[in-house]
Amino acid sequence: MVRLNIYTKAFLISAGIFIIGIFIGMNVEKFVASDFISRTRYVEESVQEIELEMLYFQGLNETYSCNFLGEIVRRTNNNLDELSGQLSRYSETNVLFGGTDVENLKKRYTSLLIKDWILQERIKKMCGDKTVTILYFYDRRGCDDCIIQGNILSILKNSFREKIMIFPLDRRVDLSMIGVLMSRFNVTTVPSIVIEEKTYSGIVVGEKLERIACSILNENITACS
Amino acid sequence: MIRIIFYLLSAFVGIYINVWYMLLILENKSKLLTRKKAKKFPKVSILIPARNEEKNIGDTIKSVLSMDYPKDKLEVIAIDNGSTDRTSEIISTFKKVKLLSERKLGKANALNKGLSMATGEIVGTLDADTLVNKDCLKKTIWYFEDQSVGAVTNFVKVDNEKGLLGKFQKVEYAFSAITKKLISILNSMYTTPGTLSLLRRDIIQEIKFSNDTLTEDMDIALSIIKKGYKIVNSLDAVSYTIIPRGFRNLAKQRIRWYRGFIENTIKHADLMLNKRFPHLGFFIFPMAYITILIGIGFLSIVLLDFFNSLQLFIKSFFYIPIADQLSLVPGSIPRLDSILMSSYSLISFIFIFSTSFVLLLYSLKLLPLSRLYFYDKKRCKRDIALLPFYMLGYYFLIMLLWCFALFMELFRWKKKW
Repeated sequence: MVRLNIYTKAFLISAGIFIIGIFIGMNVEKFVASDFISRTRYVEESVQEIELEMLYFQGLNETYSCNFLGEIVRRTNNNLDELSGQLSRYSETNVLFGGTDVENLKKRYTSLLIKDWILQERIKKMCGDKTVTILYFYDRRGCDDCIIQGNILSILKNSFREKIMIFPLDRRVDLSMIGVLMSRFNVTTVPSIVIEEKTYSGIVVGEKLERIACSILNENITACS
Repeated sequence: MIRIIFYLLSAFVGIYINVWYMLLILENKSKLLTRKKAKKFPKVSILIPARNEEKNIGDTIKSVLSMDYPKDKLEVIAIDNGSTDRTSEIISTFKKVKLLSERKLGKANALNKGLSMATGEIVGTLDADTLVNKDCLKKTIWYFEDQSVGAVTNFVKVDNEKGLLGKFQKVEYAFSAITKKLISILNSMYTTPGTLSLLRRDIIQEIKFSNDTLTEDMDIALSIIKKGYKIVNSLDAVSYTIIPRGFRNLAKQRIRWYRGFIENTIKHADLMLNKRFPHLGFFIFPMAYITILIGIGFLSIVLLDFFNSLQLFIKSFFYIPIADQLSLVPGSIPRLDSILMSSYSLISFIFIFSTSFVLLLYSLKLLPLSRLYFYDKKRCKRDIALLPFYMLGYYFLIMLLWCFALFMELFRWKKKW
């Protein structure tokens, strides 16, 4: 009797430790999620701010604000970059407890990214800004080439810094706008890159991207020399 | 998702086993180191099968002959199993040792030959690479005063712990010694290793050592259990075994053991889920298979991730110059680095494992057992410090060997003793 009880006792103790472990893990997740959500909110607010300012400046037909707007968009893009890293880690780690929360966060993040891209395109037209904008379509799972392309883009971003803005779009995110952009730019495979309305499918090597960027920038910057 | 469920399930199994052992230790503290003096000394025949053991056989026989046991009650029979070296010649130099020769290869054949000549009421099986403590027999023989005891095994220490592999094996043997003692309390000891296991001659004469499986010591143990006898373990009687040196020898030994384990659980499948053997049939054997499968699962995940990363790493060189690769730091653009395990679930996982492990170590600390095994405090601490490495590196190595053993059994690979 006593011997058989040992199995039940062991089960109860293990279950206790197990539940505490899961509880700690879940709370860490919650903490990370809340941090992520507050940062997303901050970015959302700055996007709204840009939209408002653009509306105001467009009405006044003021062009002196270009530098100011460009700076805000760039800062937003940098914030989004940081969020992207956080989100990809968070989504990888929360498949068990995150569920729909993770999907919603991804959607919110992607919407912000697209909004930021649209704003940047408008600023480019409005102010003649020469920043290179890259739309990067990738797949989070089962795409080794996407990892390589991501690395290439990271290196490119490191050398061109604020002269290049990259908008990575995960095709798995359930957002109709992704489909719209993919069909508009004729993107059928991943990885694909869209630079100045031109689509490049498959891995685009760093040298080629540098050439394209330099021809667009047409500037004497260190990365192009 | 499947991966994380697998991690959590295995964490639960891991903690369950650790807690189960902890409870066993705590509930049986008084039974772990029982000592009694023998009232009578029955005649014991020690069987030493040997094949090409010229390096060790001399020392083994010397240690047996110097055991503190009435000389007229001790019979030593060495069986040369087709050696091509000086084994036979060395044995013949010991006048008190009966030398037999068995040309049919296989340890079981050699043991049966020895058994046919043995006159002792109790028979001991001893490998030619094992040394015994002087008091080994006296400290175990009293168990046979209980007529329900069919066999007694002892406490095996490592004789040559040189090198990292040797140290890992020492830690492994330490844990194995404790677990063997614990499961013997539950009458579930499923092996009588050749490190001086004592067996009742009348029982094994009926059963006989069998060549059906690669580990005749497990086969005979399970047969003894099935006959309704107990197999007990003595932590007081010590023998020293020579462990294999180098990976190749270790792999050879382990694959034989693991294949033997599989063969024996199949041969004695009637023990599984058998109410007569609740601990062995419902927990120990099923759990052994579950932990093996979990280990193989972990190994597969690690290898899969490693090869995927390697493939990606090699492929990257075609697109990214080496200098740039080195400058890469985890950036903001999704690079989708393969994450072995989710970091937050990892926190749960680490907590679960470490807690249960600490509990187990704590319960071990309550015993004089760890001192007994690790000789002194300093070495004990040093060996316990090795545990994390043991768990990581050696564990995966052992799992790799389990994979080979399973594969060989599945494809009925040729057996080698």
